[in-house]
Amino acid sequence: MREASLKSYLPFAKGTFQSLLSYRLNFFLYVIGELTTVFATYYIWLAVYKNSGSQTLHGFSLQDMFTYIFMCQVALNFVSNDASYEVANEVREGSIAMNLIRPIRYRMVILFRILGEVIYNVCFVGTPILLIVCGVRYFSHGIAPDLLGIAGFFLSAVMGFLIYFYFNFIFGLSAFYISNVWGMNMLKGAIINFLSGSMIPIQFFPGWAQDILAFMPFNSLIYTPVMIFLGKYQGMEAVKALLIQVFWVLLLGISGVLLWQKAIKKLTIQGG
Amino acid sequence: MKRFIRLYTKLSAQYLKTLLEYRTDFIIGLIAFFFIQGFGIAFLFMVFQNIPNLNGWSFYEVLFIYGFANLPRALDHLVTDNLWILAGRIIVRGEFDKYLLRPMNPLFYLFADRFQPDAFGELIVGILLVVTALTKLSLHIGLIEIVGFIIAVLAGAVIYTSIKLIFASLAFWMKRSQSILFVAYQMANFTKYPMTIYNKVINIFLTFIIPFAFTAFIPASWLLGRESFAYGVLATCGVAAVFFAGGYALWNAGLKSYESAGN
Amino acid sequence: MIEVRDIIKDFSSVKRQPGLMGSIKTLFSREYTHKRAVDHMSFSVDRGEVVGYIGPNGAGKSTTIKMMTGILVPTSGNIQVDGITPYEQRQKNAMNIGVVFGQRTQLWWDLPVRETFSILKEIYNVNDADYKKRMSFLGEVLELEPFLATPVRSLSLGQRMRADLAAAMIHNPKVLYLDEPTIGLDVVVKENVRQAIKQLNAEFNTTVILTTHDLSDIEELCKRIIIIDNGRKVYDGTLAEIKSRFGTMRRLELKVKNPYAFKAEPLRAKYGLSGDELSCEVVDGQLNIELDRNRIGIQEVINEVLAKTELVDMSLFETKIEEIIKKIYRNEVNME
Ligand SMILES: Nc1ncnc2c1ncn2[C@@H]1O[C@H](COP(=O)(O)OP(=O)(O)OP(=O)(O)O)[C@@H](O)[C@H]1O
Ligand SMILES: [Mg+2]
Repeated sequence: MREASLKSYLPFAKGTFQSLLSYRLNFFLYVIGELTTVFATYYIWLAVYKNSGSQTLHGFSLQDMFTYIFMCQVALNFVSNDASYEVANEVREGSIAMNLIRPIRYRMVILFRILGEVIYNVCFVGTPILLIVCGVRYFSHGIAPDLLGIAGFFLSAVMGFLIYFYFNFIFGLSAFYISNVWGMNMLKGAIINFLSGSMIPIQFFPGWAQDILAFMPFNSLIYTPVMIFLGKYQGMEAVKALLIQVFWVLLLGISGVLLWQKAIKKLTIQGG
Repeated sequence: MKRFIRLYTKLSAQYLKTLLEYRTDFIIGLIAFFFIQGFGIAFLFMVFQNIPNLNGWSFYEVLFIYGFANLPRALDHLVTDNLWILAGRIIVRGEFDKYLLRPMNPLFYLFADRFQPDAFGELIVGILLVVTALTKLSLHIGLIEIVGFIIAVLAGAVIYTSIKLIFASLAFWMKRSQSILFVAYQMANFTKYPMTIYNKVINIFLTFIIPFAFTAFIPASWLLGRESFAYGVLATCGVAAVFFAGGYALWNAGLKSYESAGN
Repeated sequence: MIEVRDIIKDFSSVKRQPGLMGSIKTLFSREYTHKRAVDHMSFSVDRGEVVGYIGPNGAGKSTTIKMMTGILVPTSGNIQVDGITPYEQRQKNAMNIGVVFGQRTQLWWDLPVRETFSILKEIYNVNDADYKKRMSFLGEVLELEPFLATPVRSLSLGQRMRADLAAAMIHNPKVLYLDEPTIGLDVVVKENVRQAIKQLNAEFNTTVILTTHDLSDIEELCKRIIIIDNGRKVYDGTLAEIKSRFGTMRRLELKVKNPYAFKAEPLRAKYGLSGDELSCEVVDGQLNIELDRNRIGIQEVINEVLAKTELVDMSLFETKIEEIIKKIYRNEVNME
């Protein structure tokens, strides 16, 4: 089979991007709806710092915390997609077999479809929030934007995207073996949302929980990029965090490929 | 009334049979729901590790409000989930026709046609939280409190239903209104915490405009001894009555404007 | 039974504008485009009549039915069904009517057919004795027995349509509205459904309003038809009358030695006929002649053919009702 070039996958990204574009009004309303939770959290932290009697909690000042909860929303743009659902659906309906007769890689098709969604989210939700966060930090607190931190954030968030993508790919393929991906998908969403640190920074977790989470990929999704943005990971620490992300990309990526090959065998032998 | 109950049970029983075909998904979904709630509580718990109280509200008081918020939400969720689908596709695809062709009140039929068992998860978590918080708080709970509590929960559920009804009815003119309904519904997120932490604008908005404050914070405050009975229960009932009347009027106007769908 | 007086139905839809600003503008703007689907329609139907309501796609048939059933409120005009205004007293009206939309089932999608009937029994408050009686009648006429235990979603189209018909009849309605009840059915099932409708009408004296694109439905079931085009009524009368008024066209199909020997022009000139009244064409070596029997005798035409060439075989056809209706739809005939 001739290897398709990256260019042949671009239409998939463009397709998702464009179809999202036609829903934009509804899309923004949903974004506003989702942000209510963040605003409620904002006021909770405001009250918490007022009541705690200290300037910092677990190394986070109030400013850090505000930045943290809003930057989590930006990072979430990289890791919110339906890849697992999409793959699972194709597995269940058997249409996944169609991909074997095309001269392109299924994994890449899904990746690019998701990419369209992510780019859309980052353009129209993530970047505006990022600009507002930087603006507020600069104009009312005199904190100049840290370009290296922003660059590190994007690099790390892209890693998070890849980890999440492979995680979902594997999850979707598991539909070959288990039949209740819908329920599992909800469960997965809930767990990732919490353990990735998007509700509350990992530092606030009890010590034992932090120890366990250190061995899991969830940190790498949201927490790591935001910590880099905040400048809490600097120098060697940031490099180490990025290397951990690379490790997860490789581990999950290779597992995904292996699982896919097994799935192909299953498909060609049993016919789906 | 008897006919309503009989019809409701009959239709719900049918829907349950449908659901049972997908029961594993349903159970896993329920488990997921417990996780979501558990994480919400874990969040509160971790927050309280750093402070003695939140603007004067103790951990268990906050937990009580949080748990209370679940109850009206769950009751509404159980019965009126079809409003989401109405706003999303029933009207735009012309599927609403069938609700106008039976000798039943169309709103009743819409509600009876589907129920959301996820709500049992909300209900169970809510009751557990409320009971746990109450035992820790050693409040005075007499007959008035129990009756008032039940009335407030029911009135709160009616407020939820009314707000959903208002925004879902917009679909009669807009064809789809799910995203607007979503924004409105999400406003309820503010009311499961002590609302003294918010600024005036948010408080006024959630009390007078989209009155979710009456579904949790206000009646819960009465039980915690911080609000009068008149405000905590009677006002809640009043708001429920006014908003339901408004929502139902809008719904009826919507029925007249319903355009079905061409093929 | 049914009185439709001068009803109009306008659909309005918001004008959409392109672009992001456009979609925000659309939210607030009041610019509508109007589409008149039914235009000053009036008719009345007596108890026990079976009326065919026909017209081309988009003529306004379904829209009229939706107003008669109470789903839509007319923009103006008035409807009475058994003394009730359907869109004002929906629930009362619903007790009196049964509705089948061929395009969309009213059954409970995930439930076995039998369950659907037991829900409907509750909804329409049918007592046990009546329920039993009607179930056995409908079961027999519509042959429901084989699939009573099957979930609706796994029924074939024909089975689903029969179940829908039965579901619409379980409370013995005074009026039955059937919007394309034979759509997508094969000939055998179609015949089945037609027979069932006939029997139901005969047994319960049910008034039936039927829309269809298959005119053989009409020929078999309806004495009376109403033709609607572009929202307006263009014909209301018996099928027989249409046939006798417009059914004078005949078609001769001739196998001859030399099909090109016959020409229409000389005959047209001789009798002063238009191209519509006499025409001919050669298809697959066969000579086809269309003629208006009122304007020229069949014998004259045949004589002319025989004079030119040798006849091998011949058949004569009446113009099909489809052809006439097609002409009416295309405004090719004068209805006055
Ligand atoms: N809900 C609606 N909104 C806007 N326009 C509509 C709607 N329903 C019907 N129309 C329009 O009204 C006209 C009449 O439609 P209707 O469905 O009554 O036609 P019909 O005679 O039933 O056609 P068909 O034979 O295709 O079923 C059409 O132009 C259609 O596009
Ligand atoms: Mg139609």
